Amino acid sequence: MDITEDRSPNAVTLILSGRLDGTSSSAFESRVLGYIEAGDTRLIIDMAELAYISSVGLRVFLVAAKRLKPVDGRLALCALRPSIAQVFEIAGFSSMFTITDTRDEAEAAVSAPAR
Amino acid sequence: MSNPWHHEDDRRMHVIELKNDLGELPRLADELQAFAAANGLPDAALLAMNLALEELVTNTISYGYADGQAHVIAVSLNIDGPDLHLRVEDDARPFNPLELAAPNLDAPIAERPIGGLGIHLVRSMMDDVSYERAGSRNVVSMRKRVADAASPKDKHHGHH
Repeated sequence: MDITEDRSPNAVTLILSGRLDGTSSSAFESRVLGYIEAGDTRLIIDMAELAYISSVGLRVFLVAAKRLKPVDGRLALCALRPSIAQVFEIAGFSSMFTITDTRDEAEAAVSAPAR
Repeated sequence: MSNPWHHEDDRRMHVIELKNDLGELPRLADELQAFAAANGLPDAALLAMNLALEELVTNTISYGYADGQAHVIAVSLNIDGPDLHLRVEDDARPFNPLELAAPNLDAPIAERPIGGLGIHLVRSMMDDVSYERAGSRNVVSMRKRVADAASPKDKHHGHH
């Protein structure tokens, strides 16, 4: 899997490409937790080019969400392919995460002031 | 009832023997992709097949053995009419994945256990999953309807 960073004034976007599976999930997890530790707590994961995800990949999103909660961080996922969206749905993750169609919507979601 | 594991078109049946090493997962993925391409399986079917097999094989490799020895996990793929049949066989400790309780999918993030999702995904992505302990082996058999896209486009298949 390739991970590309795209930084805007409001958020860090990670663009995933390829497969988020047992082989790549630990690298992705370290990368995400590294941002959170460094204070980048508004994260967008662009999944337009992500072709595959398994439970270890899903687990990274849970870990990130738990880590972001105490620091009032934000996480939004965008541009999921239908097959990936189906895995999120089956896992019960669709309602737990902010998932948007476009990166612009994701940026708006993570930029909103705390409720 | 016909035996779905026997037919003459080799392309539609494939066996992958994996070592009990997580480093085998990329090879599993590559072989599944080649099988899907050779049989014209849609991307959604490839994803479901790969997901189910990755979850089961990962479980076996991670938790199935305590002896530190090399073992073989046999993954069989077979297309029979509109159905894709998958089978995972190992000589690991007895483990029936169907006895695992389903995770609570309504729990809020903070209360979600990390992990425990894999078998739920397997059962959800497949149409049928069955388990049997055959002697010293675990055998998990799965079926997924992959519909017309799985039919070969050439005309010489079958007994005409």
